Amino acid sequence: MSTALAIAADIRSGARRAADVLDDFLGRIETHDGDVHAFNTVTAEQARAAAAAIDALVDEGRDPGPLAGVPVAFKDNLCTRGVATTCSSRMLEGWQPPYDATVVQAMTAAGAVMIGKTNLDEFAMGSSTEHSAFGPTRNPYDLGRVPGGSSGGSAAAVAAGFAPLALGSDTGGSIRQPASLCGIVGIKPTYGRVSRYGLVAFASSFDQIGPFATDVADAALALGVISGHDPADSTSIPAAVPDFAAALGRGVDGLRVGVVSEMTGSGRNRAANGGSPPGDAAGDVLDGIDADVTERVLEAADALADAGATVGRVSVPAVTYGLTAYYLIAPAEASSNLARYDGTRYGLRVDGADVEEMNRLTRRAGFGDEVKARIMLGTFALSAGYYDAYYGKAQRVRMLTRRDFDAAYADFDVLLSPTSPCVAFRFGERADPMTMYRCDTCTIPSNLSGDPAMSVPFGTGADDLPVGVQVMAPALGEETMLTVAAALERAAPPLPGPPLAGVAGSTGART
Amino acid sequence: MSGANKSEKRQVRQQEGSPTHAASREEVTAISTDQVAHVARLARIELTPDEIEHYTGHLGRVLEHARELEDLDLADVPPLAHPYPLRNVFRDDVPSTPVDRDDVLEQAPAASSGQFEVPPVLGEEV
Repeated sequence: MSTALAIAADIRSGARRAADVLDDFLGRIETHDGDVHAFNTVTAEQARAAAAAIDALVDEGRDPGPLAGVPVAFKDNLCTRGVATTCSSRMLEGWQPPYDATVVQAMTAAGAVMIGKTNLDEFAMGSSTEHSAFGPTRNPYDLGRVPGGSSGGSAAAVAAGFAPLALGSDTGGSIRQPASLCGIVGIKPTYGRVSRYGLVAFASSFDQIGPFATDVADAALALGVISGHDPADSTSIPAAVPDFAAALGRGVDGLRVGVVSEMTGSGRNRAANGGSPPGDAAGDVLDGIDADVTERVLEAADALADAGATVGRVSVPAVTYGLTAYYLIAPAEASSNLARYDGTRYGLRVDGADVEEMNRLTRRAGFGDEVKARIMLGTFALSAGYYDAYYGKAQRVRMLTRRDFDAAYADFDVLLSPTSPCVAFRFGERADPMTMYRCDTCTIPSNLSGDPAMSVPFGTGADDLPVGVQVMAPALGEETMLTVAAALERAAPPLPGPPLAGVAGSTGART
Repeated sequence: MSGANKSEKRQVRQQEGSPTHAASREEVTAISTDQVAHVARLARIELTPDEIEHYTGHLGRVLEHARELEDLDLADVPPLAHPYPLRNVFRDDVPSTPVDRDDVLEQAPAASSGQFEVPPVLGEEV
């Protein structure tokens, strides 16, 4: 399976035709997506027209752009003009947005070809895609297991070889966790690095769009294409976009890498020291992180040390309260954002005698179980008499997290942790809401702080399933993050590809 | 509705009054069925009595977990609402082409005379 970089180079040079590349990927989708169910919609006809247009540009001697003819899958909460955008909810089934998201425009302008819209947990609320109204996506590594979520469709699409690139959104880990479970690379950029215009809002102070790819170089390429200030998103940061590709080969010599103690409490260092590692002031550790996942993180740290980095342990005490703070703030923001689904302007309407009954019956029929629960949780957390105890307190924890990260970054350039506390789990295994929410325990802190973070495959854990290591960096520190991620990728044990016919290994194995 | 609010506030005081006493904490459930019914009305989601029971359990488990924040002394920590400090964001006041009205109304459940159409708001046909 070719990378996006290789495909674009071949198409720009005339060595391959965009139409042929597209047919290869559509063929894999045809063969395997009945099993995987990564896509809600495959836009084959539109993609063929787009590929033909790319080929025409090449024929005219014009450059179609850095993603010339590269098929890309978009999470189905990114608005695509005239193409159904469902958020995997009955509420928006069949809705066709009147405009493209800024990232969709950017990818298309760079020459990418939209191949389809991918499945997600309804309105991006979940960590497994089991909350999709249209049925779950299955992990290409084991069809009996989840791909993670909420961007599970995008992650599975890239892992299964349905597209070399995909975009997802990350509110509490929804890019990084599925990337980890599917053995690919996923980036949550700094909050504001990428425009959210046209991303259907879940929790607006956390939501951030980012890429999935089979390797770090492709992810960096896509990140560069979608980054930048957008007047249509007042939260987007007016900062220049660095040359992310240049960061990949810099090497980690002299970089200071901090392994987060609270997220690696089950590791060998802790055991060897008979408790908290030296310098671990808090002593509190996050529960439920698999020991072999922690082992991979510590091996990754060793690999960086071998490559010349200075590695130490660092305590970020507030992360142990991150999950709780997040599951108050995110539902609070969601309860406000999802108030717009009232049967008036788009999507589903169930008729009622008056407008309020119409609202209540529409929302009853349109929203699934988890979405209803989170809307009500958020409504409760914001309601009179509870605001200070829940929402207000959670926002103060958010500040605490920001401060603890700032303190850690005074001593370290990047931080290392597991992405997901476990490898891909079986369907139904995490049905209890708190058990499911704990999937996000290592990823949420970066959403609270707004800092960039990414997942890089690094070996396997239980049942030979992929493990992802999370690299975190301070705000707008994507270059250093990518430098470290590229070094990890070079050191990572080869990862066998998913057992789908015609799909090669997703990283390491290629070289 | 005002009666429901009063009882909710009493319950909060009860919780806050014994933040570190584990035994008394468990006696007060994090949220009651009445409160869930009230919240469902606020959120405009029609629920059956069985569903109210179901969500009382679901929300209760999450809010039970949230009690760990009670033990944190955060009086000196200001709240953080937005991760990146941007203030007074303006754009140049230049005309542009808005999304086409017909394109928007075409996707609406009901529309007439260039507007969204809804059932009576005041409960009576005007």
